[in-house]
Order: sequence, then structure tokens, then C-alpha cells
Amino acid sequence: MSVAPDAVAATLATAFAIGCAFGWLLERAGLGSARVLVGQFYFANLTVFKVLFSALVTAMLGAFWLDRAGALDLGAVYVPDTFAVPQAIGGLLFGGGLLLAGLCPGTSCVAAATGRGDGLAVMAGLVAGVLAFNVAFDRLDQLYASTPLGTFTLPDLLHLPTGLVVALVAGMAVAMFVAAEHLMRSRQS
Amino acid sequence: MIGLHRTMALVALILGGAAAASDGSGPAGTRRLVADIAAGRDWTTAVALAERIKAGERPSIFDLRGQEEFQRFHIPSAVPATLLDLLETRLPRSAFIVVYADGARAAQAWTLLRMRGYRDVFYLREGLYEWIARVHEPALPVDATPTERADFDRRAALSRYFGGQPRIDVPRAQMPAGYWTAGGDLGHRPPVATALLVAAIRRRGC
Repeated sequence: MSVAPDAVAATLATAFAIGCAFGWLLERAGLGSARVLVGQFYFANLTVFKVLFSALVTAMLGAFWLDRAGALDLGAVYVPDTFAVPQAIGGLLFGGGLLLAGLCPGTSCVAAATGRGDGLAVMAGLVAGVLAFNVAFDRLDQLYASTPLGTFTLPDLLHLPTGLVVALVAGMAVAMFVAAEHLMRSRQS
Repeated sequence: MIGLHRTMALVALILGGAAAASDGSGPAGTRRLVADIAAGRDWTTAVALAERIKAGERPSIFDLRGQEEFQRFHIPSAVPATLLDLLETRLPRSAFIVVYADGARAAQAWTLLRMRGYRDVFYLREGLYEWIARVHEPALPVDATPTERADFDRRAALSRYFGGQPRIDVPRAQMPAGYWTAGGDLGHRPPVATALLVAAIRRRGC
């Protein structure tokens, strides 16, 4: 099945616009600063948690209600497959790199765009890592495809209706925001 | 700023609470389900399935007839399954899935899989009977028209690909009837019709 060139161009243009908006919001939220990101690991600055959880809850509620309104087909939304061991290793590497560099891929772009040297250095490391991974892929492909668990979502995993899971996540997020505010106030006082 | 945060939290709680109160699959999802059934997008033909497999696609095919019937004969690469198995199965959301059974179970399985979020799901309207009659043992009537002959040639190639046995010069009255024939019944064959076809294949040692 071929995809019309117009559709590809429209998709790429949309992706570019969303990417720019994402970068701008990250920058405005202060996530271009390594100090802000690393502060999360020491519970000294919960900006990362608040920004990313706000985005998550907004996207979740938006997608859910757009689906209910018939404007979005949630069933057509791509859900990545789960490969337990390789993704656990990848998560550890990612977390270690984030702690070490103070930036993740998205925020390193933002930091580089605002002229920060550490952002440029992390982006260079990112490109080097991608190249190294692809060069070594023939040796890693067995690990890469090991322990496949298929695709599943929270409603699948918990055997609960989607609407109820949406409510639980929204409620949990609000409770955690309140807790985060209290923690920050107690640290400041 | 605190006021804005409180308002956002309140909106999130209201939308979340309303989500819990709404139906599990949602009216939009249900509408799409009904629209797909009405437009005939819920089923595929055995010939279309065979052509997609021959073209290199690897569908997940579930045979819902029971272990005993499955052991006797099944569509190549199919696996036996129950509705409970389908409730637990984990496949990519975009997986190409085909289910078949004798009777309404296939349509029930289709609905279950669609409710679970799988999009590319189809069932065979006449189950294994259709596979045997249309793909495994395509028949050419003795008084075939040129159109019927061309269609047979296409299906005979599929039959050979799947290790079947095309039949030629079949009396018109003995041609397998189905939704694909003029005047053929719509709906599934009785299980006994499928069992007779399977028994005939096994007698030949195929």
C-alpha cells in the first residue's frame, strides 16, 4: 500500500509544527536547564514532574474525549510493543545518561538551541550513541527482540474500563501535584 | 498562578470523573463498530486471506472450533483458541487478525477483538468450509463460463500453493454453494458440511 506524497508532506509539516511547539513549551517551562532536570532526582526541584505529568494528563484527557466525540480513533493510535529486558536495559542507560548529563534528548535540543554548550555536547553524544547502536545492531538484534510481551495498555493490564483508568490517572496526578506543592513549600520554609 | 493551577486541577478531575462515568467502549467506538458491520468491513473472504498470505503477509489466524476439529484440519498457520484466549492474547494493535468458526462464534470473536482495540480484524463468514471450498479444493464446473474458468485458474494456483487439490469437470449440481454463488445461502454452513469435506480430504491422505 502506497501513501500519497501529499499525505506524507502534510504529516511531516504537522510533525515539524508539533516539534517546534514542544521545544518552545519545554524551553518556557525551564527544562533547557540541566540544573532544573537534575533537581528532580534530589526532590529539590519538581518542575520536570509537574510539566511532564501535566502534558501526560492533558494528552490523555484530550485523546479520550476526542475519541468520545468521534474526532479521533483511539484504536488507530500506535501503541509500541513491549520487550521487557531490552527496554529495561534501555531505561537504565537512559536514566544514567540523564542523571550524568542533566539533559534528555528533547531538552538537549532545547538547551542547544538556546546556545548552551552542555546541550550541544549531549546532542553530539546522542548522535554518537545512535550511530554506535546502528553499527552494532547485527550483534544486538537478538537482545533487541527478546522477551516480547506484545502491546498492552493500562486498561488491558488492570482489566478495567478505559474511562475508569483515565479517572484514576487524573485523580492520581492531581493528588501528586498537591503533594509536590506541599513538599516544595516545606523545603522552602 | 495558584488560581490557574486550581482551575486546571478541577477541570482535570471533572473530565476524569466524566470519563469514568462514560461507557467503557464509548459511543464513538460503538458507532465505528456498527458502521464497519453495516459496510461489510467485518469479514474477509478465504480467497482474499489466501492471497494476502501468499503475498508474504503473516496474519494471526484463530480457529475457534475446538481442539478436536482443529486437529482434523485447519487453515495453515492457524492456532486453536477460545474466546477467553482472545481476551488474553497480546498482539500489536495493528496486527492483521482473522478468526473463523462454525457458527456465530467467529462474529463474537470479531466483536471482542474490536472492543479490545484491534483494528485489522476479520472473520470468515463460512469458516473452514469456505477455505476448503474456495481455496483448498476449488472446483470448476463442467459447463464453466470463461469468467468462471479465469476465477478457477486464480484459485487453483492458491490451492497448489497451500497443498490443496483443485477439482475440474464437477457437475454443476455438486458445486459447493455459499454466499459466493448465485442463490447460495448467506451465512455459515452447518458444521456437518465442513466435517464431510474434512473427512474427504483426510481419506485422500492429504
